[in-house]
Amino acid sequence: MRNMRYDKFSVADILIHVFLVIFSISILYPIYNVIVLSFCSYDGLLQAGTTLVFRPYGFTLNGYITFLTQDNVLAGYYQTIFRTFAGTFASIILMSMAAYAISKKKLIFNKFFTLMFVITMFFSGGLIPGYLLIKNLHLLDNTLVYILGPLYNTFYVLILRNFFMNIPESLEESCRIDGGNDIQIFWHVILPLSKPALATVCIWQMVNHWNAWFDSMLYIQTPTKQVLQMVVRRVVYEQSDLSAREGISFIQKGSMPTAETLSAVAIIVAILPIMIAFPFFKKYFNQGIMLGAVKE
Amino acid sequence: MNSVVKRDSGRQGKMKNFWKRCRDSKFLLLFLLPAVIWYVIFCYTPMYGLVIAFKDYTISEGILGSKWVGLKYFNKMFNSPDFLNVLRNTLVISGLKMIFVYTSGLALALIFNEVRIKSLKSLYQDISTIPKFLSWVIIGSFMTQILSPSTGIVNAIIKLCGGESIYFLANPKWFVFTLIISDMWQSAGWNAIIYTSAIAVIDVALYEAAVIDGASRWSRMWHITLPGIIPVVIVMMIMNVGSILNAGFDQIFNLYNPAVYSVGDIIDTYVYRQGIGSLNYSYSTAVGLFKNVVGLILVMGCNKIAQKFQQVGFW
Repeated sequence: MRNMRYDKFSVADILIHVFLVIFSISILYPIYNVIVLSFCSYDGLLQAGTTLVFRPYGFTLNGYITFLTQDNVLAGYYQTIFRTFAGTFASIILMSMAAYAISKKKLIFNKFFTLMFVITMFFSGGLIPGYLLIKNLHLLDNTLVYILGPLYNTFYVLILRNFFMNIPESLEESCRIDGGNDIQIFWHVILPLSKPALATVCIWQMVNHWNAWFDSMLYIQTPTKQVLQMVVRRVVYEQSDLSAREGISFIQKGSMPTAETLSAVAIIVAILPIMIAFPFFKKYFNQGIMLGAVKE
Repeated sequence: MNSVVKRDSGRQGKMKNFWKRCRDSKFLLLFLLPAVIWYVIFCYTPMYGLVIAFKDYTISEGILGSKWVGLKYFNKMFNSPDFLNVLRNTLVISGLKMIFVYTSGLALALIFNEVRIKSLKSLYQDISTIPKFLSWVIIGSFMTQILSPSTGIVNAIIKLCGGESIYFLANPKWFVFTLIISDMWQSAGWNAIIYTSAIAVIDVALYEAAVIDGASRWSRMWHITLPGIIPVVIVMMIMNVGSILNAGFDQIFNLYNPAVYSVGDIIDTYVYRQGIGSLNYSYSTAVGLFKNVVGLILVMGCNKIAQKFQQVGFW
């Protein structure tokens, strides 16, 4: 960049761009392909002869209609949306409170609490003890696990703590002089100043919740309580199951969707919010990685 | 003043100090309370549950009631060819990923650095981070279609070149290759971010001096850029050695199938199948415990070494 105003344009530049364009296409084309496929019909694909399509052959909304009218799909959407917002909201509030507490030197037993959190980053009970815990708490098949499970993430707590530690004491002190206690300082001084860090953690947590599927697979049995990613998983990996179990014989012909187009619809439905939000939030994703990687 | 200080430094003074600090912290402790409760319930209780690795655990008897069997399951583990195979797979896959996936992030950062047009560079960088936000459920679906032996693009190209189609996801010879490539595809852009930030810190004067001395672009990259970020590269590598036993459960679980267990089964997937699938709770926990303990030692060791580079400490 800055070091290149001395160089003439060369073959190397062309190769670099070619490589990066090919790489970018390898990322963008599958997404584009899936968008296009979701609007294709059986007849259309037959005509196209391949799934490597660039435009919707036999444009139809039947794929979406068939998919979205399955019982568990809308339920899956609901579960995922609910956990993304409720879970993230609870997480952010509780994590920032805890992070604020351990960011203060005056906290008694500060080192103990910090260590208590940090240890969990390196050691855990593992899969089975975790499963047995949920079972013994009678949380199996209870959608509360979606919120309680990921409630605290030590990595994010540390990011918030480091950020809070960098807020000048003087701001806090002036609030104290005005008669504020810790809670008021937290609410009126610290939080408003921490918007970048809070936004970053918030967005990361939302993505985590949106993409979560394993806890749904492990702890939840009732199909209507499964998250969207699980529904996608079912549709894509067990296609024959869908028609058999739902008792719907979606006849593969004419303007009806095929197995591939139905998978495409499932994928689009699952990634749409992230794709839409991405351009707005990419700034937060990127700066977040630096907040975490650099020790203050 | 003096007499006050003397009084407070005695034993009674220390007690008073202690309670003062408690009172000062009262709101902070309130903030901490939900966190402590959560960590105890969701993190430390399962750690206690690890004890079932040393027992013949049955659900009806519970943790306390189950019979103590000591190292029985650990013996079973080390004598099981299945487990040893799984361990080997884990190390192979992790090792390959460390070499290729992290190198690809570095290479990508270096390539990004050579793009002249700023707006294009940002565009390439942003696009490259997109796959990181897709879950492996989604990426797995893409791959199932693209790599399909009958209708997939990749095999269509192979056939065009005169070859035979390869069933990438079900052929043990190709499965690991597929894992590595797809992991590179997903994380190269994201990994590049850290290196890009490190490159940005390099003193511009170094480049200008090099140009005056007649250094070519390649020369500048090799002798200035690379050495400038070597500390970050090393620290990242060391920290990743610590997690060598995590070969990528999410990815492998979504991509593997019985046909490729021999090469694709890793410790985490083995633990899952033994525990949730076959209900061998104690054995599964024993394997998990082994992994956690070894992992802990590795991570602690690696962090100590990384700290010696005086860069990123972990907390």
